[in-house]
Amino acid sequence: MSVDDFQFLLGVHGVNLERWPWHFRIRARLSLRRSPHMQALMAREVEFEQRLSAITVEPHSANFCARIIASSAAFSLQPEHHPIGFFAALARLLLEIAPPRPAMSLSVIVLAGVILGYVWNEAVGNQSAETLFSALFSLQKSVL
Amino acid sequence: MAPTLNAESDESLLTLLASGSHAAFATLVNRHAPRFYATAYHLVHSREDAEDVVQDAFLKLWRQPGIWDPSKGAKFTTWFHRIVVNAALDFRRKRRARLEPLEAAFAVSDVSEHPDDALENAARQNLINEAVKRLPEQQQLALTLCFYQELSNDEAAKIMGLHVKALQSLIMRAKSGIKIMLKIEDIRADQLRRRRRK
Repeated sequence: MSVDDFQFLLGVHGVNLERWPWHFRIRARLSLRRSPHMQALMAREVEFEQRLSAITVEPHSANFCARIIASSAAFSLQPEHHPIGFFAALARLLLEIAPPRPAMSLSVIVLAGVILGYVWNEAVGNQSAETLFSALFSLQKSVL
Repeated sequence: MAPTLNAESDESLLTLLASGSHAAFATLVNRHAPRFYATAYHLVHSREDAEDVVQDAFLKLWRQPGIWDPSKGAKFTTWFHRIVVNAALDFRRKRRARLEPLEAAFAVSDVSEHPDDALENAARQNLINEAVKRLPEQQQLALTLCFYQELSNDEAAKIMGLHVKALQSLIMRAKSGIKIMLKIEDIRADQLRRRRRK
């Protein structure tokens, strides 16, 4: 293993050879035993990492985890305290039941329209539908 | 917390969490929050802020358990590290507190004012702290994940969304940057010692 390779691997994987990719470990150990230059590089890197390790993390507060858990519990109660409105609930329901693709959504809307029209026709009767149609027709004629 | 859940894997807990299990959520928090706190702390440098970042990330998971997609094949810790890291970086960008000039860090480590070895060491430690804090964001993150969190280069690269080579380049640049700052300070301290002898 060349000194440059050793120096690069030392930089990216650190001084603990166990963290190096396995295929480099044996060669690195052998090279390290033979080369005083590599030993010096290793010693310098060990000293540097020791200094880096001395940067301490301030311990988190004692109730840190408990606070997160408590906050989540409080959050889950929120919908009971603040019930969502009718339209928001309807929108949420529609979003949940809406098919994932626009083409499918369109088909569902058309199908719903046909069913609604059929039900309307049955409930109100053909005569009323004809009256409505002729009224709309005469309105169109008068406008044009 | 239900003790039986402690033996469950993260992925099983997430499945339970998706069905609204608060016990599963609590188990995940107790298992991982301290580790994610350490990552966040290295990025935001304050206990309160790091705790807030981790808390927000966990609450996001609680409110929207669907954001975890097991079909993507990522480990929970890798995926959640990304969530915490992004939240910490967002927090930093928002805070964007005015940093003191670099000279301030060196001034604290001025050995002429602290002749005692212990104080000198403390000052040098402070210098390393400052040097790490002043690294560019990506270099600091690479150093945090690979050195302080002892993650493999592969895992850190996944968290950062980088190729491994790019991550390794960031680590090398981070370490070189800190070494240069320390070298400058060593020369400075040596000059001060000589001046004192005269």
